[in-house]
Amino acid sequence: MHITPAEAAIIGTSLGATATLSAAWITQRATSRRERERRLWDRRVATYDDLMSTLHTYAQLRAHTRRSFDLPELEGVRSEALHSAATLAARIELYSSEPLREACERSFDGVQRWLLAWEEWHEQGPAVRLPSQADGLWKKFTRRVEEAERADSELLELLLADVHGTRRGARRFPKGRNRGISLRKTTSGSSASRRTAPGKNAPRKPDHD
Amino acid sequence: MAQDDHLIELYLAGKRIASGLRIARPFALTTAHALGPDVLTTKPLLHLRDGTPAQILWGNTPSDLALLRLELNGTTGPLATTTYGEAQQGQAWRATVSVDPKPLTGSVVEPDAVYHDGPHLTVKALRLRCERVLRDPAAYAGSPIEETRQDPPVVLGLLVKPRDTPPRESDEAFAISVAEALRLFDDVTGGRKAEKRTRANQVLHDRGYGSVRPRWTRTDPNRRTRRPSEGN
Repeated sequence: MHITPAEAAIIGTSLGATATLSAAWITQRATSRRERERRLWDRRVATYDDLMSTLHTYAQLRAHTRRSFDLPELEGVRSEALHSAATLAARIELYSSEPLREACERSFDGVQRWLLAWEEWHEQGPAVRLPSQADGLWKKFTRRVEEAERADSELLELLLADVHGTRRGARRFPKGRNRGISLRKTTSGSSASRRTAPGKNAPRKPDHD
Repeated sequence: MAQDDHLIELYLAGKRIASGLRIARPFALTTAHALGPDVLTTKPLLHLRDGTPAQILWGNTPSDLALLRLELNGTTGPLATTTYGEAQQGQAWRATVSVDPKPLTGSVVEPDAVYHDGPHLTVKALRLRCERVLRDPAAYAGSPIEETRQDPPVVLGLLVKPRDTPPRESDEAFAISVAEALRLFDDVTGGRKAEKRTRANQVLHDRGYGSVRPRWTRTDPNRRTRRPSEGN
C-alpha cells in the first residue's frame, strides 16, 4: 500500500492534533481536579477554623463555670451550643471524615451533658446547692466536665492530624504539633469517605495527573 | 488577743443576727437557719462586731451551715492558739456562748451521726447529750463547742439546729465538726489543702515552734493540750 506524501501529511497532522487535544484535555481535567480539591480543602479548613473557635469558646465557658460556680445566660449558651453543633456537624460530615464527624458529635454531646449537669445542680436552689464533691450533683457536673475535656482532646487530636498529618513515631498531638511536622498541601486521597488520622500514615498512591 | 477569738458575732444593719465559728483567717461558719432564707438568697454584706465585713459565700440548709468570707484587708492579725479537734465518744464539751446565763455543757454520744441523708448530699454531725433539757434547742445553734478541760480551747464544731422539724424539747443537740464543714465546702476553701496546712502546723507545734494558725489535732480526752511555750 502506497501512501502519498499528501496522505502522510494529513495522517501526521491528524495524529498531532489528536495528541494536542488529548494533552489539553488531560491538563484541563487535572487542573479542574486540583481546583476542586483546593476548594474542598479551603472549605474544610474554614470548617475546622469554626470548630476550633467554638471548642475554645466552650472550653473557656467550662473553665469559668468550674472556677466561679456560675454560668451566665445559660439559655442563650445552650441554644448557641445546639445551633453550633448541628451546623458544624453537618459541615464536618460534608467535608471531612467519619471518625472526625463522630468525634465532633461526641464533643458537642459533651457540651450538652455538662450544661445539663450544671443546670441540674443549680436548680437545687441557692440555699441547698454546694460547690463541693460532697454534693452528688456537683460531683456529677465535674465528672461531665472531665468527660467533655477528654472528648475535646480526642477531637482536636484528630483535627490537627488531618490538617498537619502525622509522622510515623511522632509524639501525640498537641505536644509535637509544631516540631517538624510538615503541612500537606494536597488533600488527594483524603476525601470524606476515607479515614482521617490513621489513613494519613499509610503511603499514598501517586496522583495520575 | 481574746481567748475566744474563734467565736464571731454577725450583724446585719447594726442588729446582731447570729454567732459563728472562725475556721481560718478568711473563713467563718454560721448556721443557715439563723440567717434565714431571704438573707441566704440575697446575700447582703454582714459585719463582725469590730466592723469587719463578712460576705456570705454559700448557704446550705440541709447541713444548716453557711460559709462566710471575712474581708480582712490585712488589718487583722493571725488567730491565736485556737485548735480544732476530732471529737471522741463520751468526750465532755461546753458551748462557747449560751443564750442562758448558765453555760451549756454535755457529752458526745456519737461522733459520726447522720444529720442529713438526701439523694445528693449526706451530712455527718456530732450527736451530743446536754446536761439539761433544752426547751428550744435551735436557740443554742451557732455557738462553737469546745473541749472542757483545754486551755487554749480545742474547738470540736459548731452547734446546728436539731434534726427534728419542728424542734421539740430535748436534751439532744447536734454539731457539725470543722472537718465535715471543710468537706462540705471543699471546692471553695480548698478543704484538703487547709487540712494539710493545719496538720503541718501541728508538726511545727509539736516541735516547739508554736502555732499561729488554727491547727488540727486528734485530741485525747484525758490529755491536756500542751501550750506552744511548753515545748516538747
